[in-house]
Amino acid sequence: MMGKSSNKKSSVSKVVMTSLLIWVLVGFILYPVLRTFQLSLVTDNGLSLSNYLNFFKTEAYRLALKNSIILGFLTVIVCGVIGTLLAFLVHFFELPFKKTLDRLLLLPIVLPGLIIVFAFVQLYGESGLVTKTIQTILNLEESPLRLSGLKGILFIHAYTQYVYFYINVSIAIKHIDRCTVEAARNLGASKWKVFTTIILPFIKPALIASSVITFMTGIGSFSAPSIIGGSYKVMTTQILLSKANNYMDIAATQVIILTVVSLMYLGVIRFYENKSRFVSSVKGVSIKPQKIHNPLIKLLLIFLAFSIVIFILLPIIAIFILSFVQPGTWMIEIYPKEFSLDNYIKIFTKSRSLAPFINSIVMACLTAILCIVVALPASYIIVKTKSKFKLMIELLIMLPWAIPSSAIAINMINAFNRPSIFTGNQILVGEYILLPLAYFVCLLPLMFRTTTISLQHLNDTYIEASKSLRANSIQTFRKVVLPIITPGIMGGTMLIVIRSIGEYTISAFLYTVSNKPISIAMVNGIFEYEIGLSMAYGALVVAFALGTSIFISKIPKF
Amino acid sequence: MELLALENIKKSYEQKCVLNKVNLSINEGEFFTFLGPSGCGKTTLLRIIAGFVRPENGSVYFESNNITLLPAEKRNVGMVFQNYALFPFMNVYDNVAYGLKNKKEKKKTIEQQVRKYLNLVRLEGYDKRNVSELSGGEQQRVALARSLVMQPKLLLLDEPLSNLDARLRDQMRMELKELQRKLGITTIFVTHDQTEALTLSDRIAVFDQGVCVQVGTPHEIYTKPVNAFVANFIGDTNLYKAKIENNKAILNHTTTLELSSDSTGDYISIRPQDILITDELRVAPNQLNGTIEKVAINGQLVEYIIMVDTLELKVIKLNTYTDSNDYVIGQKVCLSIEPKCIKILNK
Ligand SMILES: Nc1ncnc2c1ncn2[C@@H]1O[C@H](COP(=O)(O)OP(=O)(O)O)[C@@H](O)[C@H]1O
Ligand SMILES: [Mg+2]
Repeated sequence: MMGKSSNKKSSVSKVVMTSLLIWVLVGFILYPVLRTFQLSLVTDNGLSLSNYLNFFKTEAYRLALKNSIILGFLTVIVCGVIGTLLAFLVHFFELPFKKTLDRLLLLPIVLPGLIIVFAFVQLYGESGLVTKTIQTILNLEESPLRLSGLKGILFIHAYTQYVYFYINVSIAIKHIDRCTVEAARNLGASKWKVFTTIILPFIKPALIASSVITFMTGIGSFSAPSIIGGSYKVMTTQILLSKANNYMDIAATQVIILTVVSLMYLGVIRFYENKSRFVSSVKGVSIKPQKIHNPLIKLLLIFLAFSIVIFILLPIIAIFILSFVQPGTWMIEIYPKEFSLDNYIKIFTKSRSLAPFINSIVMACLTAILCIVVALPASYIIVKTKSKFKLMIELLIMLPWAIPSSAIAINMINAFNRPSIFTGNQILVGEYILLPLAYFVCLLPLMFRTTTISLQHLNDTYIEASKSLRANSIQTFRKVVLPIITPGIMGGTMLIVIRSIGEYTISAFLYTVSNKPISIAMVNGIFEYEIGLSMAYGALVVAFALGTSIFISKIPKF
Repeated sequence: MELLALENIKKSYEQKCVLNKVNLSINEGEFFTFLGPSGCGKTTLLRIIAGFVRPENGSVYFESNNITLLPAEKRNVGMVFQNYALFPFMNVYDNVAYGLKNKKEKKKTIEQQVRKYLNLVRLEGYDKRNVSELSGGEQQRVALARSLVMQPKLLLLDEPLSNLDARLRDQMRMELKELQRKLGITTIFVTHDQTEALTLSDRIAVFDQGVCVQVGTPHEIYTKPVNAFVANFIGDTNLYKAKIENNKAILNHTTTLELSSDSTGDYISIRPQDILITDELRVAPNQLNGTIEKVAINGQLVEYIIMVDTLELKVIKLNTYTDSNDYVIGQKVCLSIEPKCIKILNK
């Protein structure tokens, strides 16, 4: 890229860049994990396993672990079934409004989990709108739905987390080579046989990959269990409890155990994944969507698709409508009757109410900047250089992907509740910056994936072609490099902003008065019976997410 | 004996007619080729025979039974796909055994048959190999074995040599023909390569934009093309629009060629090897003066482009020691064309 004279300079700058990067990754990702690990092992009697023994001896902790694992597996099953069926419905059969349906189905990925939980409570909770409607129509004594415990959590997970299966299976379906299906039929395979012996093996890698991310989000889920879990206690809520009671050694032990469960699942699946991986060596033609000839089935599918659309849009609509409810009016009636702009006026006029909104936006931007600044050079080193540290950088940067958010929060506390060389001897706990830093650690893998994919698209031959056409370095960068990498990186950045703006788990662990984010303000609003105000916060976040998601042309694959 | 008959087949995609009024009859044991440029509907016709596509009009008869509506999996027709369509998640053995398993054959029989056919395509010992680790030629043979093991009555090959490099293509071409002769299996071979078609086939059907324009043996197709398209597509030729009058073809106001017979048409075709380069004009019909414009040596042949006024002629000579083929660019030469070498054609 540069002349001979600057070769030395560029290799020096490469060394500096690599060292800085490793310094940051070790300091903010590895060191916090190790600190937590250390804390879990150090007791009053020196180094011992007594924290772990204590954990497994305590009934309540064992139960929480069991509940978390059950929740993880059930989330995989429920989301796997729903996501896979939806992917087949949209991409395997011929359906009207396919494109719209596809985009709608991707929507939950940009909606913050906490907001979905509240929307669901308002719709399907004991006194929710849908619940009351059904009760009135059917004239029931008791409310027919109860959004709590394991079933309630799973119901919400089904909505928020089928997307991983949906995206991956959809992509896999598009990559099925039509000729192999025809070859199978040519060799006498019935329709069912084709499905089990050809189609399924084609989508199996997608199923496996999606199960990993779904399991991790399942055991790491915090919003749903903490708000509607009730007596169904899981690890993430236990960790917050330990932290609130200042039992940091117990919290550390719980964090390590949860992380190990997550890593173990990842390990087992990776082993299995390697066995079911295949290389498709030819470029094939994708399958044509199957025509449905039976009009009854067709009608049924259209009805199903329509219901799904309603189900997906209902929470969003509910949030917007409830955000206009006149404060103090909607008490005993089933449906709210008086609407006004008061909630919004309150947010934008009272500085105490506006602060969380501003905080969240500022912290989301900080997070995005941190992510780009670290992810871009890391991807560059991984994709375009032969650095010896490639594997190390990749492992470090992807590590947070396998660690539940609540664990990341605890790790940050343990690492930065005392001066460290990585922070210039500053204590960060209690500081404004700790929260965006934790968001950054949590979302870095997502950004890294995006930038890596973008840089992979940047084939060196484009750059060479541009040079051979007499463009100089700056022109090449502007006219060739930027247009190729920008869309992907823009999309990734938007996703980071959206994810951090409504983040709840890490916020619940780390927020202080100075940086109270919007999610905490929402929860406070609910507990102070200011439902309309909470919904107005939610509506603002959702509107922001929907607005920005227009820029996300491609959601990175996990 | 007739094995397969196509009657009046028609198929269009989005109002675009891909196949029209195709009538063909293919005999048992025959090596039959569909030849035509890319996009002319060959694959579509093959997929109609295999049962993946339903024609809008017309019928497919197999052993005198109408199978137009029979599902693909019930037809005793084997197909080798252009991209081979091997199952990427199965090894070689499982790929070949796939069809037999669908037939619910006994495990012992399956193993025996798979081995037999893997040997036949010279892939013994490849059972456990992953198909993605195989070279193009090897993948091709797996695809072939996978179809042959089902002992189909009819084998369909969709451009089977097009994904191979030149040397391998020649070798596979021989092997394919040898295999077909040995097994005596009726084969429909699809290609856009005239050399493949001419060297392999018993009979050839030439397609142009979804219409079958000529059926015949390679010799018939080459020497008696029915129209300008066939003449031009099969083998090199000099094709000119001409006005035919009184046994003469008027090409432009300076060049007129004498013909041996008086038939009607608006094109004449002269094969490049039928034009003789001489040092001086002879006392015979069709003597022309020209200038060498281009010379290209193509191994055993030398190809000249010669201008006769504004008319461009392609001439081919054997590249031998005895012939003095040392014409250079710009040299003036004389040309001689025998009237019987000039074919009169319609569009
Ligand atoms: N499934 C399809 N949908 C729409 N058009 C098609 C389809 N299959 C083939 N065609 C069109 O039909 C024409 C013939 O295609 P094909 O039979 O593949 O030609 P060939 O094999 O001779 O190259 C092409 O113009 C192609 O674009
Ligand atoms: Mg074709």
